Amino acid sequence: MARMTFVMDATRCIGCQACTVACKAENDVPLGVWRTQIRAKETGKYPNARRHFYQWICAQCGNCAEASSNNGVGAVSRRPDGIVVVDYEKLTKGRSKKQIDTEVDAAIEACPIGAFSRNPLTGLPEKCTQCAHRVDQGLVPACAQTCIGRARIYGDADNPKSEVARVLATSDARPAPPNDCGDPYVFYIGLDGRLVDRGALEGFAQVKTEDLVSGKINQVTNSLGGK
Amino acid sequence: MELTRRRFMQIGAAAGATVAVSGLFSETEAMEVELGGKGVAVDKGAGIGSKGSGFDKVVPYTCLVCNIEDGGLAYIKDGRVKKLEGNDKHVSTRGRLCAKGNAGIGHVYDPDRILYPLKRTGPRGSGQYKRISWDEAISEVAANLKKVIDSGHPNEIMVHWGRDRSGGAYGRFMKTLGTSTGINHTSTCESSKKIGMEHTWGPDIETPDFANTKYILNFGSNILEAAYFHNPYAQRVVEGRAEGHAKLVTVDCRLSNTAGRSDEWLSVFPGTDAVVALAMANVIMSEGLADTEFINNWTNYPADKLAAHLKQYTPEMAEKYSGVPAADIRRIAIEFASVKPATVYTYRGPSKHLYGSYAERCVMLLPIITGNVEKKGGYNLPRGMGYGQPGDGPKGGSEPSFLSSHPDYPLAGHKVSHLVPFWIKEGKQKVSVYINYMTAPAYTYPAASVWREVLSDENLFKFNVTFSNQMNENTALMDIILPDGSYLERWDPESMPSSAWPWVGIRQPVIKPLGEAIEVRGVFQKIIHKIDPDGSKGMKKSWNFKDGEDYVKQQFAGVKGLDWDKFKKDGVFPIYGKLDPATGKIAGKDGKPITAQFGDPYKETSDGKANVGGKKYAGFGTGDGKINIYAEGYKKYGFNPLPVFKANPLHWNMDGSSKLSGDQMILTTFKWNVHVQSRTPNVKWLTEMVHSNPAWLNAGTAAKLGVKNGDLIRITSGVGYIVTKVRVTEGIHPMVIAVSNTFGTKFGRFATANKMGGEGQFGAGDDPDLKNIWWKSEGVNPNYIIPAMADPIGGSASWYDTVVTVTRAQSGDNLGDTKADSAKHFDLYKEGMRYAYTGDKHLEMHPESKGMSLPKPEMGKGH
Repeated sequence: MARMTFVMDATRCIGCQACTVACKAENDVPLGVWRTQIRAKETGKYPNARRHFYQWICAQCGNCAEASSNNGVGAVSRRPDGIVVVDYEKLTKGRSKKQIDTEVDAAIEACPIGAFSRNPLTGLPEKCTQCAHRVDQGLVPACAQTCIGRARIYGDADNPKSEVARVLATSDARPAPPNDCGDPYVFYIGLDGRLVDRGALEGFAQVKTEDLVSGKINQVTNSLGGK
Repeated sequence: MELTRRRFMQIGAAAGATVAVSGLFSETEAMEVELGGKGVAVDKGAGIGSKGSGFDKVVPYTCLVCNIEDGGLAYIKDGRVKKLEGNDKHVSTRGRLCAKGNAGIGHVYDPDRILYPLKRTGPRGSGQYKRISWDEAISEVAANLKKVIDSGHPNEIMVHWGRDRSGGAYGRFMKTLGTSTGINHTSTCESSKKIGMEHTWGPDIETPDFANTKYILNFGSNILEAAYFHNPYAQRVVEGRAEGHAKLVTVDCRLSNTAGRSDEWLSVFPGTDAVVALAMANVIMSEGLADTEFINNWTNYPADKLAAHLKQYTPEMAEKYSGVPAADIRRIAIEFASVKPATVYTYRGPSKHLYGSYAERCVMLLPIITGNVEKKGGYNLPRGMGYGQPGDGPKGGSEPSFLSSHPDYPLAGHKVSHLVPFWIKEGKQKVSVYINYMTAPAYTYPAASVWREVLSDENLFKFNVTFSNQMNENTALMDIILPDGSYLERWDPESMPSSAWPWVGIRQPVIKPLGEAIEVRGVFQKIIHKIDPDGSKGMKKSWNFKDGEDYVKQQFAGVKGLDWDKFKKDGVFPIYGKLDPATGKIAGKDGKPITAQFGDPYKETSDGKANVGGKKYAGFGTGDGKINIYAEGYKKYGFNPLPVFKANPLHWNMDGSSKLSGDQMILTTFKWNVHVQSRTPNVKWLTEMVHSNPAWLNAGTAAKLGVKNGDLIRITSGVGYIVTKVRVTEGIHPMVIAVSNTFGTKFGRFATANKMGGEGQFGAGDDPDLKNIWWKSEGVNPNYIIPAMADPIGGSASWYDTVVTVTRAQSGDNLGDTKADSAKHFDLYKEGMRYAYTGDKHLEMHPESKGMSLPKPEMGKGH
């Protein structure tokens, strides 16, 4: 049995966005949607200002799978190793656009952090699968592979010899926010407490392009505008 | 360099044969974690590229989106580059790439890329071109060059380069043409830093051991986003902090990501880093925390005299100029000197100012007086590794050229490229053929509008050629465009001192060049062969190689132990060990992280240059082998040979009072972590993240000016104004406004949010993502209103010194409005020249040199 798990170490993240681009390249993610991204926030008053990074990524909570199941054929489901994946054939084969859209919309709606979205080129779901195609080949996800700060630790938490198991046991890693969605698969170390409340979390949701265009979300910090 | 070459040989011997890397992991470990790194690559067994849907092959290369030169692996499927990853065999890169490197395929498949030769049909700048054949293009360029060569005035050929990584091929081309008018772009970057360092310890850069240090005092480098050497250094800064609990303190006028993630950010008024560093040095000396034995043995200036010199720089004085509280200066100085090992780091922050070379030397004092030089965890010499040039090299021009060896800046050994358009307009050098490679001065230089003006003028620039494959503000001023391959389609030799281990790498075509693109080395050859078909001019013999591979292979012929075929498969040499997935570090044969060697200058040797206590040591790269706190070379031209602070005379009166009126501030620029200056705006994944450049303004200042986030403002300098949006933030000095210099281009459909619409005009295939562009393009280029002045010592553009006023936009102002007055640019260029050693302000700024007789200005001296 395996339990594929991410530990995101915010103390090591430098906000470089290498992960964001590696993910786009690996998974052919089109413009306008993201599977992972570094969101930043500035805090403090001059000259005590600081910048904080949040490694926004699907928590693999499974809410989308449940919604998919309740509103369609359950094309979104959890694998035995914990990764929540989309079966595109199951989703589309012999089904009307309306049926597909209903199932996808329900999954989008169910995601508490906006990590389930629709691919503008195909109209089909985009979500982080922890690069399941790579994991199946024995590779880490593309974002972890390229992480300059080594701020993404990935592996099988059920394997006591794994680095992820060691880190979970020896650090203050805690489940990704929101952390009320069952067994966690993504943990964080050192994520600034001020940024983990639900209000702030809105700023970490999938970027709504209209918010970026209107300036509601600031492209410089990716955080919600206003003070 | 002798020193680094010897170091490499030692390491090579110690490590024995390079460690072969095979079977990166076993099936049982496959689900183990990797902290970055292990996912690379991978051929599992025989079938290369078992990744995802599978790849046909994996080809190593060296990145060239910016100038860090990371090692990469290109995954190829059906002749197309599908994915780029870091090369796990590369000792500096260790399997990782930054955002720009990961987005590199956007340079190959840029839908607006130029894929065949073009000849201008409309006026310069119009962007109107027609496709021509390579034969026609080469003939026309060769005919123009031949005319100049035959006239006996080869210096009328101006050869200009920026990010030239051809490993000497472009210089060989220039020399073959017989011209001395070679202009780089270093003065737009860090040349004053280099001139500070070279006169102090020899090499022009440092390689701090961030991974093993306990304290990093960073003056104006944005190492976590850009700067030399972003990816390799950021990896090690994180290691030093997360694993070694190092403290990171950043002195900067803007809250860069580096400042924002530092333990402390000291916000400094631009151009005053030097006085902060000097005050810290003063505290260290007077508190008895200096390593006086090191100073007395290993520098050319005695500790007691240095302490006496530093006395004038009190923390209170530093606070007056810099705004950094005296208490913080004192506290950080004591911390820095009390923790060992410790290092400083700089990049452009201190040195892109008038007298920037002094500033670099002032910062260097800190590791020097605390004995942190060339030690594990310390402030260390660069580790480079050389390669050669093919035989039969050309001699080069016989006459010095004013433009490349300007008499007014005798110490500026890296040239003063940003003043060149002014000198050309003044008639200092006639330009009959202008050849441009990897630089876009009409967009990326200070006084870019003046470049645009002179490059548009067919009386000043008679014939313009570029090797660019990207249409932009500068390319559009060229008469003939000879498209180079992208960095993934050509050969280059590489080496960079980007970690404590020297290496050489290659850039090689990972796919065949798209369209009709020809790698630049081959184009040089075609041009030379056309000018000198029978070899009678003596030019052809320098260009007798089969192809790019043949040329570059010859360059590595002298590197001991390098096997060409293996090198092509590995991409880098030597291979020091295997990337350890558990640590992200390179492990040697014993499974432990490899260790670097330190302290070469301190090795006793009979032929050593440095005399310490009657014994000879290898020493540093200076005349006497010692660290030259006292720089004799500066003295000759009336500059102060000691590290000193000269307050910018455009900002400060001689009595130390501010010259700025209440509404004046300083305009500074910066680089994003996802962009370089001119080559990335059309790379979709990068521009999706950052696609405009609002001006950063302090919240308190914004409140005083009555502007809110997103409001339109006017930034007015001495030469004109721009209208742009404001980003209100707590993360910037109240008297500074910061505008990044990547945006504002009118070319490229991703860059301009598809404002131009239509299809690619120059042969490239479209990208279906063009219809998914969701952003607005709101870039405004600040370079047009930044005057061109030079550090009188190092010659670097005083880019971060521009005095501006910031106001709400006036009625009728539109986003992007830009007005730059060339006559005013000329006035400020001339004002800047007054501080050159030949200028009337030089001795006024250096009363300590009064009465000295200064050498007469001469061309070609000091270059």
